Amino acid sequence: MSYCVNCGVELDKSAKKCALCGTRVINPNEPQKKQNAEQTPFSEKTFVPAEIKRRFVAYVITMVMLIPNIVCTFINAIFYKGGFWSFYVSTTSFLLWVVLVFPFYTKKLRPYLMWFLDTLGVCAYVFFFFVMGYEGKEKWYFSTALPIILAASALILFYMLWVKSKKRHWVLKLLFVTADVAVFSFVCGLILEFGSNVRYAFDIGVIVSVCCAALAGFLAYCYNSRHMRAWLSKRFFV
Amino acid sequence: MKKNNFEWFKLDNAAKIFPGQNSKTWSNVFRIGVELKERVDPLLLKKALCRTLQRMPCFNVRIKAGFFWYYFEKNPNDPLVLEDIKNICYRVKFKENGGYLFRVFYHGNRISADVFHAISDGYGNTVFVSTLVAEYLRLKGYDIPAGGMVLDTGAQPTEDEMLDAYTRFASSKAPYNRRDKAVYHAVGTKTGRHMCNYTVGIMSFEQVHAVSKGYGVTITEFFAAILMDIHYRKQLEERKKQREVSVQIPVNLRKFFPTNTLRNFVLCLRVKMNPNMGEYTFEEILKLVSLQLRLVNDEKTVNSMMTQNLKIEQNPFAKFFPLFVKNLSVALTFLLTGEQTTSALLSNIGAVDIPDEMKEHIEKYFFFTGPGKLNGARCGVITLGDKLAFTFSNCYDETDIEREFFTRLVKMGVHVKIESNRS
Repeated sequence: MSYCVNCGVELDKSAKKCALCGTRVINPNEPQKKQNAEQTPFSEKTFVPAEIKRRFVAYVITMVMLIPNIVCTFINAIFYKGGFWSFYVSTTSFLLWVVLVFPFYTKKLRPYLMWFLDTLGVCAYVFFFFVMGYEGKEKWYFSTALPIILAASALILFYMLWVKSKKRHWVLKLLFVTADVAVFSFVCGLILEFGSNVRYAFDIGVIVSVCCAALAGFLAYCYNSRHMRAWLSKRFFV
Repeated sequence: MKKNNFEWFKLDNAAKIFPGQNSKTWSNVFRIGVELKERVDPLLLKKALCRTLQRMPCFNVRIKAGFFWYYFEKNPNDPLVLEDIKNICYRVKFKENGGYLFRVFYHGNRISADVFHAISDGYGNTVFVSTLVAEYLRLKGYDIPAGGMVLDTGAQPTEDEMLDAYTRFASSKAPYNRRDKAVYHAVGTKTGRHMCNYTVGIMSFEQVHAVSKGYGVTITEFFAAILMDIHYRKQLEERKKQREVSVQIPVNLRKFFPTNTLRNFVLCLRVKMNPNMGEYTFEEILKLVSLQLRLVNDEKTVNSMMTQNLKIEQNPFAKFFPLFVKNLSVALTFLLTGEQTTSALLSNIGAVDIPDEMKEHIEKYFFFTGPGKLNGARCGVITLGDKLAFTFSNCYDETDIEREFFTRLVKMGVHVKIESNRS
């Protein structure tokens, strides 16, 4: 019989290490022999019950989503030939597929890949839905829609990188989101006023931005100042 | 009693919870195992299982969904005997395994039965396994009489064995208010899906009894106090804001009420301590556990708890909700209260009562409580003769609680032998 020198418990003769602390079993008087599988107290076989596969579910959803698209394209081509209206159905379905179904195809969650595809999907969707087939809309797309989408996307990417780099306190996360909103509203105002000539857009953007920046500043002060936190808990205790 | 009365029957009060809790990754399953002195023959075991099931209709069932409630009906399928696996007590699916809600395994000298809690409790499963092993030994040619936890397979099942004892004995007029809040949990790195770490400590009953007697408490109280003390000290190291520590202890109600039903007849008591009260020594925790347990562990209090549970089931408003609504509410309640209100579980089946002729062929019994969803320390205790088996079911990879528990016993002079599916 062997004992763990660390825990003082007796170990089963088939044990190669102590189950409690992991210390290796070395007994010069009882050299380790390869145990018959049936002599061990527990079986070595593991049974993993069958589960519904994520990819299979994604495949089924994809097939279901394809049906209305095929039907609409068919009807558009044969019966109602006035324009490519079925194209809108396909574009919407494609965006939904990229955002909701594609993540199921990956084995584990890939946030950066999702971010990239979602950005690309939204850019393409807006282009196909609002620009293609309308004359003169390209300018609006490149001067307004695309910069706004890219700005939002960049801010989301910054947030993802920042959260992933280190474990953050919830107040800091809230602060970052508020600061993000401030920057986004400022950029939006700028783009709308000078890209699309929307009146007062910049002013409204600045007002929202200043409000959010003030809130972010207040959160930063609360987070850093122990006195402020003490004062808040004293004044607002429930 | 008419013969066809066991063709179908309702789930008892405790059993009604378990199908609602059941998910594709977790089920409330536990295992009773027996280690024989000789290698198990699977063909004879299968034969013995078929005979045992004839005698125990409450195991010979499959579960079906009615409109309002689940019910059990007689299972016409052939039961299976399976080669044992490492990840014991994995989830149950009602349509797998021929619809049976138990799985009988063999491995080397061992025979084990994983049972879904809806059909029976620890006592019932021990009777099932003991009767199965006795029948197996008879087929091997040994003369094993019936008695104690071994049923006579030649006799007919009795009404008492099939009794829904909660409905029969719940009669208290006193309301019982159980208010539990979220308590401390020692968490760690989760094992993979369908996996759980099991560590069995085999020790001398006499030695443990002598140590617990030295402190003036029972073995259950002694073990519960050690578990509580370990969690208490672990929390002191880990957390600034201290939460209550609680140990759940299922109690066999057959000792209070005159029945030997093989279906569920168990209630869970909780003992708890609040670390915010101040520093505790082990002796103080022991006293706390012992006094709390003795205060509630009596017929009148458990009757009140039982009646309260039955009231929920029999509430005319809740009764007529369709089954899927009931399932949803059970799942939600389990998520919010279930293991959230217990730091550890300690289930002590006690001494197994089998004929002496059978004891000669048996090395020891095991009791595995099955994995928890949150609790790393779900412990099962069972004793045969002088061999007490204490099993930890741990859903985390860390071993600190088991190690602390067994090394403490070693320091107290108890000889402990460890077996585990980790090594």
